[in-house]
Amino acid sequence: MKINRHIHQTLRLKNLLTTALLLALLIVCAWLSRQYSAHIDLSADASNTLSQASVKVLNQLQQPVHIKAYIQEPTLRRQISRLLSRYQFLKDDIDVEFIDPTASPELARKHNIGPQGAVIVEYQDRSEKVTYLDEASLTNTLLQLASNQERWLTFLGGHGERSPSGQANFDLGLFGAALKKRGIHAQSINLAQLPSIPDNSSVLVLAGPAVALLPGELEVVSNYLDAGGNLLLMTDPDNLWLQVIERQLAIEKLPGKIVDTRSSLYGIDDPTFVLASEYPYHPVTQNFQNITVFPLTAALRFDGEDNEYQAEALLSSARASWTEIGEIAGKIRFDADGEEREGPLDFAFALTRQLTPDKQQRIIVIGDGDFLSNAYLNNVGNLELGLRMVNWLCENDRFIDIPSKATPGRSLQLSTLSIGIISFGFLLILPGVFLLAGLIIWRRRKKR
Amino acid sequence: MMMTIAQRELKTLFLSPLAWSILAVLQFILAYLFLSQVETFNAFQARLAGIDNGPGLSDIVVTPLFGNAAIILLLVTPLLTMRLVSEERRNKTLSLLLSAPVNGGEIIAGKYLGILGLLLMIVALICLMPLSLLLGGELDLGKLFCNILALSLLLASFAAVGLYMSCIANHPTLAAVGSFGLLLLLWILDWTAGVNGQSSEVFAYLSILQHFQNLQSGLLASSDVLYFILFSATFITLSIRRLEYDRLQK
Repeated sequence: MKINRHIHQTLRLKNLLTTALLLALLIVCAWLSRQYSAHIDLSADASNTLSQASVKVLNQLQQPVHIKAYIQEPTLRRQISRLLSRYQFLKDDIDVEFIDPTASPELARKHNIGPQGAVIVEYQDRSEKVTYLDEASLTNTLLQLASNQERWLTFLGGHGERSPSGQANFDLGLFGAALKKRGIHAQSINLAQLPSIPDNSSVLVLAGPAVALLPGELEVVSNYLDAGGNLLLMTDPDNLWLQVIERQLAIEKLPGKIVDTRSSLYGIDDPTFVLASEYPYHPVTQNFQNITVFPLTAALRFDGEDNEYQAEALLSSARASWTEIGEIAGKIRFDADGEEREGPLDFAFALTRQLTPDKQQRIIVIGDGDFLSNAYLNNVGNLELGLRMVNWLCENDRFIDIPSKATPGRSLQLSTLSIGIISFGFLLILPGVFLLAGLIIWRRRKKR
Repeated sequence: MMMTIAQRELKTLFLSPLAWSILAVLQFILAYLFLSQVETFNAFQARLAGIDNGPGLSDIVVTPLFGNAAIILLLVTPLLTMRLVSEERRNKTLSLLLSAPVNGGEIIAGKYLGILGLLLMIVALICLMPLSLLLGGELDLGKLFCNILALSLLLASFAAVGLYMSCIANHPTLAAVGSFGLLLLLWILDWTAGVNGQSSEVFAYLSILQHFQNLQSGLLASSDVLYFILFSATFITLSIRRLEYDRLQK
């Protein structure tokens, strides 16, 4: 066949069209491979797969989840998106937004995000801040957000108590706002106007009254406790107005205030600042690792004889602390002869009483009310500890334990001989052999 | 016919000192990186035992080894592929090949398989290193398999790009520079995504690194495997079409 110009052009056009068609086909395949994808996790510890517990929690969530990650570092961002992709695979309406906290300081300040960053998880109209994101923390955060029950905290008012909506330094306004974000509402009541504690309330809060409660009011509180109501009692070293209730709970407040010589290590001049960094095993403090700061704290003692309550110490001061009775000025010293007690001293107790097999009364008594006040709330772990206490008291303490994964190959024991074979073999012998082969071939070629 | 071309290609590679010296240098560098990684593991071994969900031998030694190998082979593959077609063209042997009773598809497939054979030998060589650790420890074999698969698929893609560049370039050096540039561009494509905060979905999909790392983690996802296969298929198709175009030119 003689190829003339016309046939030549037709052939070239045909070739071009075939190429375009094939490329289009490949693009369609790529798109399809994204739409319909399957995967198998081949790692021995299934580290790329969510545990059953997480899958169950995800199935409970009906609404979309928004995640805002205030993280700057690219590697951390990548780790977070890899973790989230496992969630997104099961629930496709989880969206993630990465925000650089240094580029938008007003947002970071609004959510109180430090230089290490944080992740804010939003579900419906509630949100929760997570500072360390892994499967356990994210799943538990989602679980907390999923429980859409409204909870009410009732603050007793009318005696100069710290108010959950007050803005003064000693008030609890910031804490009240933090609770609201988690679907827990704070209401103040005055027993002079309302004869009893409202039924809808999960927890009664007594936040350090400044004047004495009337006998009638004390009776209402006492009846409330007898009936099995939950209570958060925050007292202070010089507060005398709650003694009746403390006695009912078999809690004794030791005289004086705790002084902690350790506080100077953290750059705090005032020895009355008590630091807690180690916590006993309790649902409230499970997996809690932050330091908490307590200004002006009273030591407590639980006297459990012929009493129905089970008590567990939640917070204790360091060994190098004591209850100082004298004035805190100049050089203070432990006075063993007087009424002063040596550390470690407990200053918070969690009390429980089993009412029926599936109902438990829960009470927390703590020797300091300042740690949740507006002035101190944002110190290290104070807010989180407060929230954990409230969650426990609200019986909202379901915590899913994500089993840790066993990675194979945690140890390597090589004999000297195998070390020698491995290092010499790979580093010297193999490259040497290749080099020699190359040289021989080169020589042979030159000769030719 | 295809296999004949593949065999001839492999033979040519092993008869040149270039392939051997590349193998020697590659082996030396990777062995050095491997041994220093094993050293690191030994130093942390005591502390690792105490960490929940902590990394194991596979995470500390195997994954970085294959990651390093990927980057080094990004530099090396263009050197191995550069002569595939462009040298034939320079030596005027391409017209001979084209006039032989084989179609363009067979020529390209043969050359591609030849170079793939060499690259898979390199992968096998790299595998020996983690496998030697079985003498004194345990490995996550599933993860090792995924790493081997990831590196093999990656090299198949590298080879396809190199082959195409060799088809369009007149000079082997040009082919090497071209394929290295293109591969590096595809490798770093998702870096720009990290800077702006939001990534274009197309760019993220095109980026080689993401798919490679996904496979490295031990998650065998069909979309990642297909990415590499489609990637290679695209450049092989382009190479075949280019060769057919050459034939028409004559």
